[in-house]
Amino acid sequence: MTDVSLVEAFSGLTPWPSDRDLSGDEWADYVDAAGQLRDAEPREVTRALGVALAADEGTGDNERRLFVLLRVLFDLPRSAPAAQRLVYKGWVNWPAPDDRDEVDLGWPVAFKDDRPRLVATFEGSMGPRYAAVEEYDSFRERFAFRALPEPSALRSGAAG
Amino acid sequence: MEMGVALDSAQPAVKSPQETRAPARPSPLRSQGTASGGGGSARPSSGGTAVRSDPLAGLLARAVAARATIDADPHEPAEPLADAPLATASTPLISRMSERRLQRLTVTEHSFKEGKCGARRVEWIFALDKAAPEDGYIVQQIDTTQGVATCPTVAGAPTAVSPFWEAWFVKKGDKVDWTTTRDVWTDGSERPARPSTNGMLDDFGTIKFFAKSVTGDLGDFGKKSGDKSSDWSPGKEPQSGALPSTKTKPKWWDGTPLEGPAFRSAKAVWNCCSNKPSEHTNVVTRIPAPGVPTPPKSGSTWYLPWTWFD
Repeated sequence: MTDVSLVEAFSGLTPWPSDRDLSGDEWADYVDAAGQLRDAEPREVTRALGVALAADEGTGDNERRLFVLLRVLFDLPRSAPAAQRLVYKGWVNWPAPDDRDEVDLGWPVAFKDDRPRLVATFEGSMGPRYAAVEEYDSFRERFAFRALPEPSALRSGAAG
Repeated sequence: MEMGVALDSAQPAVKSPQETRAPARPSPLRSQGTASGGGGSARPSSGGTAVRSDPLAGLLARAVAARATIDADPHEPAEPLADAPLATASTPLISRMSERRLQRLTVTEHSFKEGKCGARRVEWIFALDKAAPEDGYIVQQIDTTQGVATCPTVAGAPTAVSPFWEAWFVKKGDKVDWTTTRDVWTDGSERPARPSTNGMLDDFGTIKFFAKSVTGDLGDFGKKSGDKSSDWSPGKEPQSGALPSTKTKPKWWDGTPLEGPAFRSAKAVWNCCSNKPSEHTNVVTRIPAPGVPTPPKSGSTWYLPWTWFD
């Protein structure tokens, strides 16, 4: 695995949509890419993340790809103290903490029965570029990789 | 369900602003001929994926271009103060004007893409024209005004959202903060298309540069302030990402900054209520206007009016 092949894997992902959930095939692509990240050396991953962000050329597509991808890769608590949410991109629809001052660290991705889904769409962003490298390092220090489902089980036509 | 848009996979996909393929405007701050790796010609023509065949080489080229951009004086050839009336006078007042003229805070549009039904994405560069005389912060107040309605309801008068403030740390001797050096651009504003709606949304930023000796320690990108009583911290306003931010107006905000104010804005007014997509409208205006840094280069709009009659 090289950082070049990782960048190519990112490029096939559908950016976080503004109007719908991802399809089974699109989620399967994310799970497949997450598997490649999991198996790669962290140094290669950070290089690939940096390259992909630098290549974005004003579209924001890679920001929205990598943000979702890291939430597929890591097993993040659905409920955690708000102080544990370290924000690396200024999405305009970050959820406010609940009455217990807790937040979903996996937002906007949720897994149920090994199937991912979006709990929020892309509604816009502000501020500097997504700090994906910093978020990857932060997640790697604090959380384990997710036990990923088989991508084939998510593709259209698969039972489930 | 937390989302603002129902996640109905049966809905037809709406073109994203990226699919409009509006070419990125070259920044007037960019050096010419050095950014081959960052040029638009290397982009594939389909799929919206900005991945080159030689991504590492491309990144290196972008880094070189960014460095050249930031080191260059964006207003070369420099406008000597002597071009202006009274410029040779040696009064203390003129001396202060001279200092102010030579030390400016400039906002330049780095890229712009426009889509349908309110969609737009703008990236800006915030830069001091001259090296910071001491450690400081480029601080921005964000005021969002919006009025949006789902068709056929017509959007009412726009209302203001509570403002917030965010800060970029600039080291003494630097012209930009370190994330701008790394990322090439400083600040962005993006909204996706909102089909079957009409309305207006304006993200307006007022930008000033303050000495750290005035603001105190606000922290840095992804780093909390050393002052535990500070109102500032990354995440205080999540829309600022990892920048130090606050929802509380700083007491020094209305004081005299070292530089500024400068302004940037991205505003869309749209109507996508017609059954005919050809009748949909989306008018996007932004500050600064394309290719025009703020404050304007023209000396006639920079000098205070009374100076012409002194």
